[in-house]
Order: sequence, then structure tokens, then C-alpha cells
Amino acid sequence: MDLELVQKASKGDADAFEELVKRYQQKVYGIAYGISHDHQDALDISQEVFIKIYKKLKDFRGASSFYTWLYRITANVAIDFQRVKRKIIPVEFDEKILEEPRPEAGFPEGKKFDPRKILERKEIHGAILRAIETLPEDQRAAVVLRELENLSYKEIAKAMNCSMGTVMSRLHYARRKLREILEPLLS
Amino acid sequence: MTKCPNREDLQRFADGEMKGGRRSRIAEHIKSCELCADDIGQLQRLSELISSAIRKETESRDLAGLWEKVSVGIASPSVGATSRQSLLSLFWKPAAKVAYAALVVLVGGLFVVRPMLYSTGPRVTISRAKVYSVYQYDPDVTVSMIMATGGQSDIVWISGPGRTEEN
Repeated sequence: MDLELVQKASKGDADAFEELVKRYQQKVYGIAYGISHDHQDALDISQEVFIKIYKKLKDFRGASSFYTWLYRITANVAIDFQRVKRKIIPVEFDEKILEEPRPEAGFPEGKKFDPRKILERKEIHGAILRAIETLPEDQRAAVVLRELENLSYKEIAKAMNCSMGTVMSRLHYARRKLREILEPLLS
Repeated sequence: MTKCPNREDLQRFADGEMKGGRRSRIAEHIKSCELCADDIGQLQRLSELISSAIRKETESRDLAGLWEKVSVGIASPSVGATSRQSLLSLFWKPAAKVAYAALVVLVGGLFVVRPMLYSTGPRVTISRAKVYSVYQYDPDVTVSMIMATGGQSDIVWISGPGRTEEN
């Protein structure tokens, strides 16, 4: 199905390409957001990914699945985008977010921090995203492809153009760090 | 109880990347090892948290306009760099527009008004003109620009404390 659309789009069928964009935009956006953690950046990354895809459609031979190829380009664009951005705005994890709830975030002052309750709240997502943000881009991309898209190690290796051993290593170090940071939420 | 597997193997087990005898051995091991069972439980919990955090943030986003942006990008190959587009869009945000316009007026005003302060242009009769704009060039000097009849503009006087002169 994808291959048919790709073939049509590569011959200039705009409707076919639009169908591909709409079919995968949510996934591309999700990965882009998972790596960038910024909605405007994720939108810019998604736009650039699909423009790149369009320009490279004729090079796609169908040896791998379209989505693996798409994820490879998404990961590369998002990682490059982050590397450029990191040079401008260094990101650090604020550990206070796990130590004590912020009153303005909806936690009454003086109440004891309760992970089970906080899990129900939106702020927990912010804490997880901030924790992911502390990871190097390569580890972050591996984690996002694995946890969000449920790709196998082999698919991640293809998408990131590295060996399966490297994928396992990136996932291992990324998860170790995330578990350290998010320990109160996991126990 | 068998020896605990290392964390890499537990990770592969939890990710479903282990098959055959090794998978069976670890499955058997965690039945009797609370530590390894906890370890796998934490990995699974972490996966759920990451996945739900990102999905929650992205699933409700309206991406209806993405195709239009992509189609514009495809139509103009030179407009490929998103960073340049972001910079351009920044220029057109309302606040940036006002600041940009103010900057243009300020710089332009300085270039136009300053030489005029020292010029000896044609005399314009006040009765034929109206005040177009007033510039505070410095605290001691106020410059009034006069739009003369017929659309010709000139500075007709410079006034300030202790100083009033017609041009």
C-alpha cells in the first residue's frame, strides 16, 4: 500500500504524496516531539522531514519498509535540529520537580508528596519529558523509537544507521539514567 | 534458584528481543527472583510512562495545516531550511512587527531629521502648512516637521528651551 503511493508520488502524483503525509504525519510528529520536546520545533521538523522525503522519493528502492525509511529521516532531522539548538540553549534537568510539588501546579502546600496521586496528574508527563531531555540525542531517539513506535532493535538499528549492539547499548544507558531520575515514580 | 541475568539480558527479555532457551530460562528465573521481577517491572513501567507522556502531548495536536506547509516547501525548493522560516515567521509576529516598525522609523528619522537640522531649505509660511509630526531629537531641542500645501515637507522651525528659530 505504501509502496504503491510512493511510486505514484515519485511520478509527480501530488494526491498520492498528500495521502502519505496524512497517513504518517502523526507518527512523524510524535517522534519529532519526543526528541525535541517543543511543539513548534516538532512541526518544523515534520515539515522538513516530508520535504526531504519528497525530494528523495526516487531514491527509495523499497528494500526496507517505507516507515523504517521515514523514521530514519525523522530521527536524523530531529537529532540534527536538537544539536543545533543545544548549542544555543543548554538543557538541564531540574530535580526539584521530583522532590516537591509546585503549589502553582495544583498541589496543596504542606501535603506530602504521593507518587500514586501525582501519576494521575499532567505534571508527571512534564517530569518524564524533562528527564528524557537530559539524554544525549542518540539515546533519546532510540528510546522514542522503541517506546513510542515499538520498533524492534533491528528496525531501530536501520533507522539510526547503527548496529543492534549500539541500539542495545543506547537503550541500556538511557533507561539507566531515566530510572535514576524517575525512581520515585517507578517504585 | 539460577544465577541472576545481567541487566542487558533483562532489558532484551522485557523488550521481547530474546527467544528460545534463553528466554525460557529467564522466564523461569524471575518466577523465583523478586529482584529481577522488580527490575523487569520497572522497565515495563518506564516504557508505559514514556509512551503515555509523549502520546498525551502529541495526540491532541491539530496537524491539519502541515500538508499546506509541506506543499509550499515542495513548490519552493529554495525554502527548505525550517530555521530560516522560523526566523521569518518571528518577524511577522505582531509584537515583532511593532518593534521592527519602530526601529525603522527611529533609524530613518535620525537619518532624515539630523541633516535637516542644519539645512537651509526654502521658507514655508505657517499659514499654508500643518504640523505633520514632532520629533524629540534631544531634550533641549524639539523639531516640528511641517507638511506644506501641495505635499512638500520641510522643517520650518526648531524650538526648545532658550532656542526658537524659523527655517
